[in-house]
Amino acid sequence: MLFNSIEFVLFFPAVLLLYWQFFNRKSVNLRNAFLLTTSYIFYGWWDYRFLGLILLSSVVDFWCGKKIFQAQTKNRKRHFLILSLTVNLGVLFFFKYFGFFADELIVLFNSWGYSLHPVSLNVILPVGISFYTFQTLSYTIDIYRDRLKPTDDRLAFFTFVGFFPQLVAGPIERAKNLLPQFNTLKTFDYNRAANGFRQVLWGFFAKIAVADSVAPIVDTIFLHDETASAATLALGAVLFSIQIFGDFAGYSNIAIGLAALLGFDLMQNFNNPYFSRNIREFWSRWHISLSTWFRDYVYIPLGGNRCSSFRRSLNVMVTFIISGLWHGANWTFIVWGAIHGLFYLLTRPFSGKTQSDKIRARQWFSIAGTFMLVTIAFVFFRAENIFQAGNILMRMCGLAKGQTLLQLTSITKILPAIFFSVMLIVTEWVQKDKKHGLDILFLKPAVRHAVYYFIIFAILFSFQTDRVFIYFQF
Amino acid sequence: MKLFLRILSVLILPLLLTGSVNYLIDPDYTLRKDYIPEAASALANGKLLSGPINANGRLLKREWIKQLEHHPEVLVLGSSRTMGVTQDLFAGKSFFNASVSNCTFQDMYAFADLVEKKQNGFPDEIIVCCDQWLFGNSFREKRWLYNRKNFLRILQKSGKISPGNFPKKWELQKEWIKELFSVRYFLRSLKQFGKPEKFEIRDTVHPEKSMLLPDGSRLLPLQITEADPDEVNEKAKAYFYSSGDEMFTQPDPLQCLLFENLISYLQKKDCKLTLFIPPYHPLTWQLLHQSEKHAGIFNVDNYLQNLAEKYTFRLVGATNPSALKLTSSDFYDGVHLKKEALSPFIHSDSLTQRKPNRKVLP
Repeated sequence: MLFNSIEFVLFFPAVLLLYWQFFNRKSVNLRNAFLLTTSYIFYGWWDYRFLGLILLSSVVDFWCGKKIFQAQTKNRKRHFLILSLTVNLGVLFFFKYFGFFADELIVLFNSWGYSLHPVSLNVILPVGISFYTFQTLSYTIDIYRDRLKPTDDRLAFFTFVGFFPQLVAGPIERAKNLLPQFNTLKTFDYNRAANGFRQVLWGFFAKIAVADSVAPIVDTIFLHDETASAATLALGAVLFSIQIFGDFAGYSNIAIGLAALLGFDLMQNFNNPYFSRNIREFWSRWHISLSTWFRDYVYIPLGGNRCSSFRRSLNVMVTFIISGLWHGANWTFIVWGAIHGLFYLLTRPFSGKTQSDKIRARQWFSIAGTFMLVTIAFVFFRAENIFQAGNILMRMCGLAKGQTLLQLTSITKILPAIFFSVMLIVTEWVQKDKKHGLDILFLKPAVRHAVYYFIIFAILFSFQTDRVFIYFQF
Repeated sequence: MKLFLRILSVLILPLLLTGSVNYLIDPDYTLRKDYIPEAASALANGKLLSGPINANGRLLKREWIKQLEHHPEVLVLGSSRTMGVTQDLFAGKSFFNASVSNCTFQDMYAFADLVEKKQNGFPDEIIVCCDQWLFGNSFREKRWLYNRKNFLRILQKSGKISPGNFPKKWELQKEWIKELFSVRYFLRSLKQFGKPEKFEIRDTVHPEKSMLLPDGSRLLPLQITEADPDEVNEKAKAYFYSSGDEMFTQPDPLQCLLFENLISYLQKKDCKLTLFIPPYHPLTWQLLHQSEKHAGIFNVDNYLQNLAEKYTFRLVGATNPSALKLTSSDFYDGVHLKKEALSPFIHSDSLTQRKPNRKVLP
C-alpha cells in the first residue's frame, strides 16, 4: 500500500481509531499483535507472497540474536552473526543483485572469449527489502558488539521489523531506539500527535505537490536528453534534485508523522540537506539513517579514521561505492556513490567543522556550490545508464543548443511545479531550525489554519493516485 | 478522539467545497453520467450528438450497442485514429464504428463481446486498428475498466491469460474519487460555471462542432481537420515531445499475447479480419525514427507482418507515412489522418490495392 493512495487514506484512520480506542488500552501484546497484523496487511497489499521474506528475516534475526548473546566464546558468537549476515544479505543479493552480477559476468567472460549463456530468472524486487534487511542486521550486529541485549519478546521484535510507517522506505531505525518502544503501552499525547499530523501533511505536500508535479517535467527532459538544450538539461538536473528531495524527505516526514500519531518516535532522516555548505555536511543531513548505518557498520569496521591517510581515503571510497550499490543494481548508482566519495575527499580540506554552526544566508556561495556538486552527481542517479548521464553532462558543459523546456512541455505543467518547489525551498529555509516545515505553532491560529488550507489545496491540486515513491525500488 | 475530530474539521471544509462544486458543475461529465441512456437511445435511433463527445465514450458506446436496431456486418474496433471511418465506405452493408479514444486491447475485447451478445454472433468483417503504443508497456489507460466484465468474458473463453494480470474495477473508482476532490477540476469547474459545453441531440451536421454520427463514427470541426499546415506541423512535433506512449524498444510479451488471443478468438468465430497499422505524420515519424528509445514502434510493423502470415488476415497501412505515399497534408496532427486519406485504406474494395511498400520500412 502506498501512503499516497486512496486505500491508505481509508486504512490509516481506521487503524488509528482502533489502536487508541481498543488495542492500546490494556495489553502490550494485544497492541503489538494489532500493529503486526496491520503492518502485514499494509505490506501484503502490494504482494502478499513477499511477506515470507520479512518473516524469514524476523525469525532468523530473533533466533540469531539470542544465540549470539548466549554463546560463550567469541568464535561461536561469530558463527551466528555470519549466519544472520548470510541469510539477510543472501536474500538481498538474490532478489536485488543476482541479475545485475550475472549479466556483468557474462559480459566479462565474453570479452575474454568464453561464451556464457545468460541466466534469466525474472526476479521481482520486493519493495523495501534493503530497508528492513539493514534494520534487522543492525540488531544482530549490535548484540554481537555487546551494545544491545536481545529481546525475549518475539511479538515485539516482529513488530519492530515490520512496523508499517517505516517498513518500506525507512528511516532505517536501530533496535536500540525503536525496539524498547514496543515494550510499553502508549499514552496519548495531544501535542505530539497534532505535531505528527502536521508532519504528515508537510510530507504529503513535498511528495504530491512538489515531487509529483516536477516528475513529469524531469521525465520529459531525460527522455529527450539527446535533443534538449544545455540550459534545459541543467534545469532538468536541478528539478530532479528537488524531485528526489520532495519524494524521499516527503516519505520520511509522513513515516515519522504517522509513527508519532501512534505514539512512536522515529529518527529524523533529513535535515535541510540542500543548505549544506560542503559534501561532508550534506551527508550528515541527507538520508541520515542510512549514512549513519554505513558509518557504524561499514566505515568504522573498515578502520574508519584511525588509520593512515591513504587507508582512510580508501575506506571513504569503499563506503560510498557500497552505499551507491545499496540504492540499486546498476552502474549508475555505483558511479553516483563513487562521485560522492571523490567529492567528499576532494572537498575535505575545505570542509572544516561546519556541522554545528548555524547556516547563514551569507554562506550562499558554499551552499550553491555544494548543491551544484550534488546535482551533478544526481544526473547519474537519474539516468538510465552511464552513457546517458555522460551525454547529458557533456551537452551541459558544451552549452549545446536544442529544445527549450517550453518546447518539451507545457507552461501549465511548469508553473505549478516551479511554484510549489519554490514554496518548499523557502519554507525549508525559514523553518530550518524546526523539525519540519509545518512546525508552526508560533503562528496565530487563524494564520496557521490558512497555511493548513493552502497545503491541503496544494495537495488536492496535484494529487495523482498511486504515483510511487522513488525509494521504494531500493 | 478530540484530535481526530479536529483533524476532520480541518479536512472537511476543503473536501466539502471541492467535492460539491465539482459534482454539481462537472464540466467534463466525469462525475455524473446520467445523460448517457438518453444520448445512446437518440444515436441508436439515427440522431446525431454534439458536445464533449469523448467524455465517457466507453459507457456511451456500451449503451449504444445494447440499443442498436441493426446487427452490424462490419465492425471497427479502434481508437481516435479510426473514429473517422464511416458507413459510406461500406455501401450496402450494415456497419458500426466502436472506436473510442485511447482504445486498448481490453476495450476491443469488451466491444466484441457486447456485439456478440447483442446479435448472438459476430459481424462478418472486423477492422482492428493496431495503434503502435498498444504493443508497448508505456501506454496507461484505465477507462477500459468500465467494461471489465465484458473484457473478462472473452478473455476467459479464450483461456490463455489469467484475469489476475489485469487491474480490478476499484482502480477506476479511485480515479472517480480523485476527480471529485481535485482542485484542478475545481478551478476548471469555476471557470466553466454557467457555460459548460452541453450535449445536444441533432438531426443535421454542424461543421463547427465535434459530433457523433449514428454509425458510431466521429466528425471533427473543420477548424481541426482543416487547420493551417504550419499549425499541423507544430502539433506533429509537439506530439513527439509530449507523448511517452511510444517509449519502448520491444513489443511487450503480455500485450502481444493479449492481441493474438483476440485475433485467434475472432478468427475461430469466422470473422474476416483486417488489421490497420495507422501511419504517423512525416515529422513525427522522423523524430520517432531518430530516437533509439522509440525503436519498439518500428518492431511492431515487423511483428504484425509475421503475425499476418501466421493467422492469414489482411494487413493494411504502415507506421512509415512515406511507405504509403502520404504527406503532411494528409494529417491534421501527429497521429491522425484526415478522413479522405484514411478512407482508401479501410475501404473494402481498396484493401489489397493500397498495401504498403514493405521495403521502405526500417
